[in-house]
Amino acid sequence: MEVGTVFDVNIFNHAFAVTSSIVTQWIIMAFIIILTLIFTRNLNKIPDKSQSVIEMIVTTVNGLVSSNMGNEYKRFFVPYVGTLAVFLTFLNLSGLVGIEPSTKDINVTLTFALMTFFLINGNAIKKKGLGGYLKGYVEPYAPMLPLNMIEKLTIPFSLCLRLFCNMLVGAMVLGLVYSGLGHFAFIIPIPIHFFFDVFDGLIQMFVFIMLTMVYTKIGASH
Amino acid sequence: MNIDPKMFLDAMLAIGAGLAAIGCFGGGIGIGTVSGKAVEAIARQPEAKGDIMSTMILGIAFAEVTSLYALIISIILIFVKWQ
Repeated sequence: MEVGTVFDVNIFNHAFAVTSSIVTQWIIMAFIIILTLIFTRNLNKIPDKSQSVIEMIVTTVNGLVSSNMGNEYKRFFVPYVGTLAVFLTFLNLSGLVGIEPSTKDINVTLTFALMTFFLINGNAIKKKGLGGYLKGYVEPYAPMLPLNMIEKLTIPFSLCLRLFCNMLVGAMVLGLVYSGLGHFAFIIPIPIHFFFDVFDGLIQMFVFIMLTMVYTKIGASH
Repeated sequence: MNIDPKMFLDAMLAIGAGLAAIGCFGGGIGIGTVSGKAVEAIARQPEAKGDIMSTMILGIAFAEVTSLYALIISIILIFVKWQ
């Protein structure tokens, strides 16, 4: 459950601990940036093989955003949802190459949930205006105010905990299997890796981006 | 008789963690219900398979979160508070 500190950064006489999950995220960010630079080097109008893969990914994200949120959100949300999808995929699947997934640290998933929280409420304020947003708290009638506030708070809370718990359980089971098998870990961890890292990781990424889109759409509508 | 306070705390933590993990029960019931209804809907109309599968995955994620809340309480009790 604990993450080890790699080094300390001293800013303004406070020591900020840079943990191993931050270093893992830096490595994955560098990997994604290098992949992007390689794949978008020569863009032709008639795509060759590697460009077709990238175009397929972009078309999928476009389709997801436009079918779940409508066309007016495409300009802002396709980059955000696409980046979140690619980053979360690499973070969750990094257990396959031996790096423990960073999302088993609650600080990482809490950051993602907070970004979505600010996005949902900021979009609601932009679409309805500040008065309309505050009036939405007392709809349909005034005693619903505490329930509406609780609902606004449990959305990022549940997003954070869903991703964190699923990844933590997978990391714990794999740690137990590897420490139990010792030197004889040959074929038995493979289906466990497949279920917890590939299947669970991809589904949790998909659910995170779908819920981001659905909550943003709901938050700006009523 | 003297009860060692550390042992008493450990014993209460173990009982509490065991009771908290009973909440994981509801997740299995919820997921089974959602999946059963999804299979019936696909059998009624096989053309809508993609939409139904998307909705089913979303429903499963919602139903699983409540049992994960119970699990995280149990994990925190055992791994953080145990001395």
